[in-house]
Amino acid sequence: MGTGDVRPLAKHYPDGRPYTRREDVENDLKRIVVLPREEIVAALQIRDRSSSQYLKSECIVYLIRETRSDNDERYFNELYKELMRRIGGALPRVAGERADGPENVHASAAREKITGRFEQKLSEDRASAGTWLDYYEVMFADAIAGLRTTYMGRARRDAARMEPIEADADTGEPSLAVERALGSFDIKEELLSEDPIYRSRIAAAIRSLPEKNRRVIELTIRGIPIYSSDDSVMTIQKLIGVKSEKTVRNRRDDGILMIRQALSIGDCND
Amino acid sequence: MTDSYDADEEVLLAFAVEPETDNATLERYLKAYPHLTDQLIDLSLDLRLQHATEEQTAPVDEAWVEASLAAFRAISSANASQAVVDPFENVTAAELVALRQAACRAALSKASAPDWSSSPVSQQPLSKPSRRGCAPA
Repeated sequence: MGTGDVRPLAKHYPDGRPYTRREDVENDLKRIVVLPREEIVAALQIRDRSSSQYLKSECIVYLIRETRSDNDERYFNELYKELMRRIGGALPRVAGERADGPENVHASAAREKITGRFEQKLSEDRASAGTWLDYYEVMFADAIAGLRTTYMGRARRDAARMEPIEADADTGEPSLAVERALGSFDIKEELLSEDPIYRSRIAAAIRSLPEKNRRVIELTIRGIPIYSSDDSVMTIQKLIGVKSEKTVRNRRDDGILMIRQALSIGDCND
Repeated sequence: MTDSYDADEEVLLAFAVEPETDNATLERYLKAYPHLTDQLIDLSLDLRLQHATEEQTAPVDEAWVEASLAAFRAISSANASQAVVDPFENVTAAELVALRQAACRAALSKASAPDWSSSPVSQQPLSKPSRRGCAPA
């Protein structure tokens, strides 16, 4: 049972702001740190996020770091295994991950790198308190997403050295059929659907897009202009490094079309 | 290369846990780290999709969890053995000779104090210090 004090985070953002935990995490920690370990281990079994006893992933990271100076192996193992389940749960499954498609291979490689990195950093943190794990006490799932992007990017870069550069079909206007298929499909709105299964399907469809389309889709959702005559304005054209506005529009339209097709919404011949 | 990889990882993790990842925040990071433009856009989308689907989690393979625990134990053991510090790492050869001679003298003076030949076997040291190599300083 702890003293009731919650260790503050030590890390700072690149611009010097100190990291802080969310208020709900801090409040949970104040309640948890005085609990007997048997109660904490029992709480690890709770999977219902709406339960008041549910342990947030950020709290599990805090607790496992606090075991640095003790040798209660059973308690550590329980915390560790649940933490790994949370990491596994936070990593998206790419459809057909074992089908050996290039993106799926990258996702699979990234998963192994992420767990390996986490194992290494946790081991270092136990030997000597560091700050790398602070990220996971701030926003666990988002930090895992950050790690995933890091390793997906490296896997893609490594693969790109061996793959031919794909030509871009940036000339020509979208066909009437394509324009009809695009309709008024607003991805940002679709991702806010009340149906979680539908949201998961859209997310999977977006994740399976070629990266050149996926990036334009994200920048479009953000409302970033495709082009601006004002050099100081951030535009999609500049960010993705293409010469033609038309290339941006084609990548966007092709991406939306592929998402619609993946969701079996409409058809070019409708 | 590892250092720049680690620095890039730190930037992406910092962006991931920003309280706000609006256009102003993204633009700030893009300007500060232009070499990470693609990764920051990828991460921005990944965070959006993560938030849209966070209540949907697939069941996790328990064998994978156990394998990770075993890997962690192996890493920790390896780190622990690497952490053993050589206390003579920064000592010169001449200093080492002097140290060895001083240690020998101390051991010999200790060994000569009791009469081991009359002591019960159980009280004798397992091996007496050798005189070989302990020349006078």
